[in-house]
Amino acid sequence: MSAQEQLVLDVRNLRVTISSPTRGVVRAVDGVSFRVCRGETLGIVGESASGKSMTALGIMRLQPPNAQVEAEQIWFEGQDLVRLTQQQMRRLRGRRIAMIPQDPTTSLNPAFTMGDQLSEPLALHRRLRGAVLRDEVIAALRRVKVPAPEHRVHQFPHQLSGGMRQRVVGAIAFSCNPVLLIADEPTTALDVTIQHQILRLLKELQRQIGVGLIFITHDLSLAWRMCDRVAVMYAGRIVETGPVGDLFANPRHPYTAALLACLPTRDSVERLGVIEGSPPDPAAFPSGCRFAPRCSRAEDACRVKYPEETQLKRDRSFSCFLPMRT
Amino acid sequence: MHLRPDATNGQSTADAGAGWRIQARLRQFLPVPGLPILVISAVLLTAVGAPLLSPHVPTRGDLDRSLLPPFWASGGSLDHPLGTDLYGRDQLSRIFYGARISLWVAALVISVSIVVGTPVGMIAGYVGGWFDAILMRMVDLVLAFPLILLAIMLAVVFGPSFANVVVVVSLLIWPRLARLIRAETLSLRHNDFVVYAEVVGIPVWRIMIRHLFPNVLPTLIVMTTLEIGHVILIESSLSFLGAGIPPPYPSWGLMVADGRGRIVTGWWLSLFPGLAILVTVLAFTLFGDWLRERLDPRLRDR
Amino acid sequence: MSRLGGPSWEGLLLAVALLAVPFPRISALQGAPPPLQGALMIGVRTLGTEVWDEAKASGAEKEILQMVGDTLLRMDPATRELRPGLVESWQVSSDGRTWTFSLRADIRFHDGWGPLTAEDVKFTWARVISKESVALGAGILREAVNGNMENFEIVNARQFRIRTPSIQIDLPLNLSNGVLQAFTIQSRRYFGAVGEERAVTHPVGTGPFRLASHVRGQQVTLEAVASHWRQTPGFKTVVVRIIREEAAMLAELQSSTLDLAPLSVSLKREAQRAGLHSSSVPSTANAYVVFGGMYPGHQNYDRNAPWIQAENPAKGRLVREALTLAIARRAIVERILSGEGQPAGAPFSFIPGPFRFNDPNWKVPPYDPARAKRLLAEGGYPSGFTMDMPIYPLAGRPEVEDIAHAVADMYEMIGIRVNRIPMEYRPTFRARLAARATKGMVFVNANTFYDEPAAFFRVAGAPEATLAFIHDARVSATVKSLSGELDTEKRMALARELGNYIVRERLAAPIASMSGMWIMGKKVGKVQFITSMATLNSVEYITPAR
Repeated sequence: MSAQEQLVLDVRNLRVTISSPTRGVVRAVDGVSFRVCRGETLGIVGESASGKSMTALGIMRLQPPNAQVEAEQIWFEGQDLVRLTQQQMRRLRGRRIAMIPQDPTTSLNPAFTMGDQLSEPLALHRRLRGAVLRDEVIAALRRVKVPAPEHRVHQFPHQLSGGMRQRVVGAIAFSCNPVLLIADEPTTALDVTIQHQILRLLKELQRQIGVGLIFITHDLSLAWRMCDRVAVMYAGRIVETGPVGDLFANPRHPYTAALLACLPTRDSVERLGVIEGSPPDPAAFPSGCRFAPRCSRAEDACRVKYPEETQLKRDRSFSCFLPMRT
Repeated sequence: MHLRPDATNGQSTADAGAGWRIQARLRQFLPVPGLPILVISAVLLTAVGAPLLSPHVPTRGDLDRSLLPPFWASGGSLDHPLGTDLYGRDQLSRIFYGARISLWVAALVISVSIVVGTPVGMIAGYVGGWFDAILMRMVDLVLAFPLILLAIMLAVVFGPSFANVVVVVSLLIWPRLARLIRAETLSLRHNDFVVYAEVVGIPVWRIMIRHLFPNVLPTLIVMTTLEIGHVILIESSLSFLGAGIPPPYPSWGLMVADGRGRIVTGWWLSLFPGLAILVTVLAFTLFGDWLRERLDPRLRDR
Repeated sequence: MSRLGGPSWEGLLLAVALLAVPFPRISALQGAPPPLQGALMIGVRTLGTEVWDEAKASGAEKEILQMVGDTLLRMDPATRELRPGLVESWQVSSDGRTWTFSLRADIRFHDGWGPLTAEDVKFTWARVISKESVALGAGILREAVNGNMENFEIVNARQFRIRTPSIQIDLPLNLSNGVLQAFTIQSRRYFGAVGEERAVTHPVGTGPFRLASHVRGQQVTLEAVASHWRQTPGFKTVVVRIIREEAAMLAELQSSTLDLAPLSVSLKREAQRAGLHSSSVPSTANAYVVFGGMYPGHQNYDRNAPWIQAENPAKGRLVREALTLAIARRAIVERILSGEGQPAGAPFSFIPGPFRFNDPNWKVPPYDPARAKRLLAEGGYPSGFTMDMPIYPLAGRPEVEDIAHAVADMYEMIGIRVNRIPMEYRPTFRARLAARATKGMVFVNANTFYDEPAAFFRVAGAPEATLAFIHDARVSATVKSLSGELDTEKRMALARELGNYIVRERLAAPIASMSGMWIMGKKVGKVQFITSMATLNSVEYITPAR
């Protein structure tokens, strides 16, 4: 990242803890730090329950009711989001920070037409009314390549396909030209063919308005396609981060390596690689490295103390006592 | 529920037009409960048309016509088809006007309860936290209070009146409504589309009114219908005890009380208003149950 | 041997056995033991504290006390004239302040507790007026001796003398069994010997009955005294049972587990339908319409009320006359009172009946709504006016509320707009009466029987009284004369004069007298209750049916 590129988001030591009466204190996100610049795509990759979705909610301060969001700072456009009130956050949401959620089916209100869904944020954030509003809605739909938008505005979510719905969600997200966009597994609920279309669209729109994109996924191949940099999350923490090319070519953290090994290639005719075991219970993390129980390289030292972050270069780091060799 | 791209992709439905949509909706109807609807219509009709339908003034009596039996019994006449009470007041007219009073009380009580209970319930369910805790403790307090006692106390101090009944019964009903709305709101609160609305930056009040309320509305409608029967029963009980609608106005409960001492020699005094209460409450309850059957599965079937 | 899912022989046998057992009769409505043969079963709503102590008796206990004991004087059941009781003769001094009573010689307490003497009278009197006493008659008896038993002089074993601080014309009345505050004489020796606690739970008296057993909260069993000095009872055993619900009383009367019970007149038809017969106690209450605000000289005097019109009193009188003629008395008696009553010609304590304070010239006003309307117009209200009518239930007299509603209907028929206001008598309406706050109100009231009209007006019809329906200078003056007139004839003449004035001026509108109603089963022959007394009395005079 050159000095000229503008910083959009600077998260330092973000923690999201959930107090559950049955399970005690669950540390869903346990000290995560990263930065996003204008026009760049940061991927956050990890298994389910690694805390990646909670990171997104935490940044937007939309955590579930029994969860707490704390951080040293969540710097965004000169403000520290941690210290803002919900009222102040609301002014940012949808306008400066947008999010594309995972399942467009359940995210759209089934009782409203597509036109309604789009009009609401436009009227709210950009104060458009009447004919101007109507035109803008149609334009937004066109931008996400929804065919026959004049008809679509009158249709309900259940009348559209999954891909079409996600396009509309995308239209909503981009309608107010946000500065930061968080896409939480935006294509997981879609067919493979549609996935490609949506991702292509996303990339294009990002290029158009230069929005900083946080792309959350469990699918490394998508991360490869979409992201400039990737942060690998495991058990609530980032275990490795770096530019996508370097990370894929030379993974340092055993978990990253294992994930890459699971990717099917054109050559793999045998069974796909799997990682033995399952992630630890976020209510009771083991002491020491959290991947140690599943790591083939783990030694006693790994189980005693959590490995400090090793900074290789600017934007290239990992947390491991026994990293992979390059 | 994830639609495949080759299924309803909007094109075909748009071509088929509104007619197909309506037909599809109609097919979802369960068999309509004819009898309850008939009864409810009849009650509404008599309530609205009481002045036209009643052969006599319900509050005016004529002692010379005291305790006449219904027209089919000996001593009865078609002038007073359902007989007269101790003061010579026409029972049929009183039953018609009683419908008016019962429904009027129910309408007022339910309106007040909705106006008070819905925002309370929605805010409690949406905002949660200490606000919810305080509101729900208030609701518990109101529900734990013996309201019949309160009604009697108010009746003793201020004298029984229409206003008393509405106030007391509203106090009883609105917490039940608030509780239900709160539960509905809670269950919807963390639905994706609500979270999404927050994501998009919609302010809370708008989310509650535009997004949550339309989804809460079916439950509200069902509850309203069921509560009408409940309100009529409570009002009848209060009037029966003398803490409700004051004489000489006809309330079915009051009429049943008046006939209490003459179960054998004046059987028509308690029987007909009692039947009226029974039939009306039953009709509303059955209708409400049907409505609930009809609306809820459709809601869950998203 | 029972198989799974099928009926077993044992079960079947058990079922048959249960069916064969005769179920107990539903006289166990109150869990009462089965009735004694040949006993008279009387039902009452309550027996008060169920402690038989004249110093503690404030109500229902008196019914039992008067079966076990005797009062000093007695009252003729039909005419309410005073007759000898324990006292065989009495006289008053010329200044009216010294009363001398002579007791009968042959009265003995039951169970060998000796003869009744003046000592026993003084003993009972002192207890009744003691500080701890809550007896109903305490006030009157206390007043009679000016609070000081020194004024009760025992002349000899059979004679005693009472010095009253002022002329108290109704002293003998209050010593008789015809008033609610009647008291019987209890034995000084007995109290001394067994102590107060036993004496009041196992009372000993001189009456026609002896208390045999007492199940608290349920019933009292009394045995007749053979050859009583006054009247040997017609039934050997009398059981007085507490039954709180009228409906239950009626049910038991029907099933003959009860022989006699008081019921409200609204149940008359039901009782007749069930084949039971009734006995009326006439003149237990008098109902009338009161015109509010009639308090000249008081701050709540309602000068401009249609029925007053202080600037034009003649017109006010016309309106009162109209409101009197608008009432259909016969219909009220027949329909609401089920015939248990009599249309009245005079209000307040001038209850219809063969009483000397009544003047036969007081005719029952006719029912003439047309004339009433004309009189209203003449009185200045051709299109009627609006009145408030408080409607309150009176304890023990639910019919008054019904009468009020009927009267409201009748007034509405002559064009008056009646604003019915249901309320409680205590504390709400009573407070209004005490404050004379009855502006714009017209209401129906009923009072119990008063032998002496002066007593009524002292309580409810004078400026000094706690409650007052009217203030009227002439009424007050006449009442004063009444209170000082010892001669009964002269007193009754004054009373009739008072009544004449009230009737002529229509100070209140009479409606009807109300009777008490006793329902009797087949076992009962004749009863002889005292006129106007709603409580149980004269049980010893009840004879079995032949």
